Amino acid sequence: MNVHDHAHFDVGPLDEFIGESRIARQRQAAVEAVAKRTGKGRHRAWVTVSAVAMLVMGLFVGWRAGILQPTSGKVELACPALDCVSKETLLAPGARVEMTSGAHASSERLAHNSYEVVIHRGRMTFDIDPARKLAWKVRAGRYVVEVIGTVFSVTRGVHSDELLVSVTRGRVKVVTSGSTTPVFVEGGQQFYADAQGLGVVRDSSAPSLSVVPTDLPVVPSAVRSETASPDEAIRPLPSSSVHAREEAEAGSSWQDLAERRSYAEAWSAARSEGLDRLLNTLGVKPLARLADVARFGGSPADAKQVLLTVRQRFPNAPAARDGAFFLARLEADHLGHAQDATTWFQTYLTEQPAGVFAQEARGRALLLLDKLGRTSEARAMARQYLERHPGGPYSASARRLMR
Amino acid sequence: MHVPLPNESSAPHPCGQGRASLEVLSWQGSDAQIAEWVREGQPGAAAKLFDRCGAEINRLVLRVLGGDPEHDDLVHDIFLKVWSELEKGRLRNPEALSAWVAAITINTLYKELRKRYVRRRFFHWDEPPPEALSHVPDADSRELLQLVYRLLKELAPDERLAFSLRHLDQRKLVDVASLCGCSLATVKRRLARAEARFVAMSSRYPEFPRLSAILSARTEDA
Repeated sequence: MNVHDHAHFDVGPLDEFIGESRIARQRQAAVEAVAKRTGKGRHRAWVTVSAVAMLVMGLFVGWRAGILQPTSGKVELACPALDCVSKETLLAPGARVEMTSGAHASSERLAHNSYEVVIHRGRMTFDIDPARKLAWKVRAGRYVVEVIGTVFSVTRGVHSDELLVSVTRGRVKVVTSGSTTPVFVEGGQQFYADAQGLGVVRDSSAPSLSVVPTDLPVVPSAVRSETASPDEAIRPLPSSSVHAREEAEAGSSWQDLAERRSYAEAWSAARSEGLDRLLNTLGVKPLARLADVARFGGSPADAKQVLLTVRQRFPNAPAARDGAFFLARLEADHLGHAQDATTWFQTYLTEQPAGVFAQEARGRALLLLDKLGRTSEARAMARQYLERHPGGPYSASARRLMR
Repeated sequence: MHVPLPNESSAPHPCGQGRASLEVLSWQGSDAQIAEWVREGQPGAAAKLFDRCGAEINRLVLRVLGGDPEHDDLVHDIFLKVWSELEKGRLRNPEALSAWVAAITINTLYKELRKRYVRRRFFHWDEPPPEALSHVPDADSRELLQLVYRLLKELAPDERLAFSLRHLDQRKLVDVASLCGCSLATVKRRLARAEARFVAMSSRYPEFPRLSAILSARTEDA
């Protein structure tokens, strides 16, 4: 072939590249690859199906056993005295809890089969299904109630170390912090420990202490052992001592009446004791209780006065901070002061942006701000609500405001 | 090169289009039968499919790339692609197996050209010279083919593909359009661009007047 031959160009010589041996080699490789591919494909499909099946089974078993269920952060539980008579919550599968008015607690899942509830105040009744094999610990001050499956209630008084454990079914173990000797409480028994760590185990048929004991009485000093360690102090008291104590508490003070939920009478009794005196002398928790009594006794204006006193006298107490929320509710629902209610809700949110009532406060505030025509503030609150509580009960209203 | 096999038919199969001397035909079943066997996973189907279409795949890859070091790998990939698509039953008309295999080959080659083009343009990758040139005994022809493939590297992938099919594989325009999966007008536009570029580049090599013969050879049967 001549380079300068203008009329002839042919790429045919390149075809020499594809000789018989190359074709045979390619054919052999192709046949082997297809054979391997077919076998591998089937094998791979089988392995994939098996792996997926095993994974699904593992997930199912793990979930049923609770291993794969995520441990959660703390969940705040509250039954606000002003709003709630009792509240039933399903803490976990097979674990139902009922909170009475004024109770406040937090719950946390520590491991796949272990839960802990910390009672800050009030009474909680637990119904734990033993078949679930979940270990529950209920902390109330220095006491820890351990349980696997039973029905029992734990009441923590306003004084943090007072405790009443009432077991309906099963058996619980009560451990005092720093102690190695537990106290076992069987079904039909109660365990009561006072602020000094003195405990009794007795039959539930004895006169009950189970009414919400926001101010549990102190065990008479006659039955205390001055030298006893906290462990030794947890011992059965003579039943006569118990009766004596319960007789002592039978006095018809406004607090007793409040515990019996006779709020109107309790409020009358409180007024007769002298409202000014009570406002100036009571501690923070009795004062908060007095506010509840005034509220349920049909005197919202007086309840407001009591709550303002709580905030004035004990500005740093939790009850004072919660008081801002209750003041807001009073202003909005009973006194008809939407403007003031809004201010109190905002005060509460400023003081406790992640408080127990923060979600409710945000929701109520955004509705009030909208009602007052403060649209931009309402929208800002709605945005804040949706950011923090996207699935909350006021989310629909918040979204409507954002549109 | 054509080596007659004992049971080989004298008539070339459509897969080979009767142009190359590479046909290795050992079995005379229909395309539909092969497609059916592949779908059923019959033993020996792979060998029969390769016998039917291996030569055509080789031929197209050789024409477009000039027999570079990746030739065998590309043929292998194309064959496996054909097998896989047949296995999934993607061949709608089993009688059109040959055209379908050619289309898959061209499609794979286009992707390969595009990959090389990008590598060359953006990563300064130098495409290896066609290995097949060492098989060309005549030094002048070898030099000319080397230059042709060097100039083709400068074309865009779609232009290079159309140019190679038209001028190196000597396909009709309608065939080129069909293989490239585009209209006749599009192929003409691509060819016009490619030819203009090729002429411009070849003008820098006056010592190779036969470069222009590549183009003139096919103009009459366009």
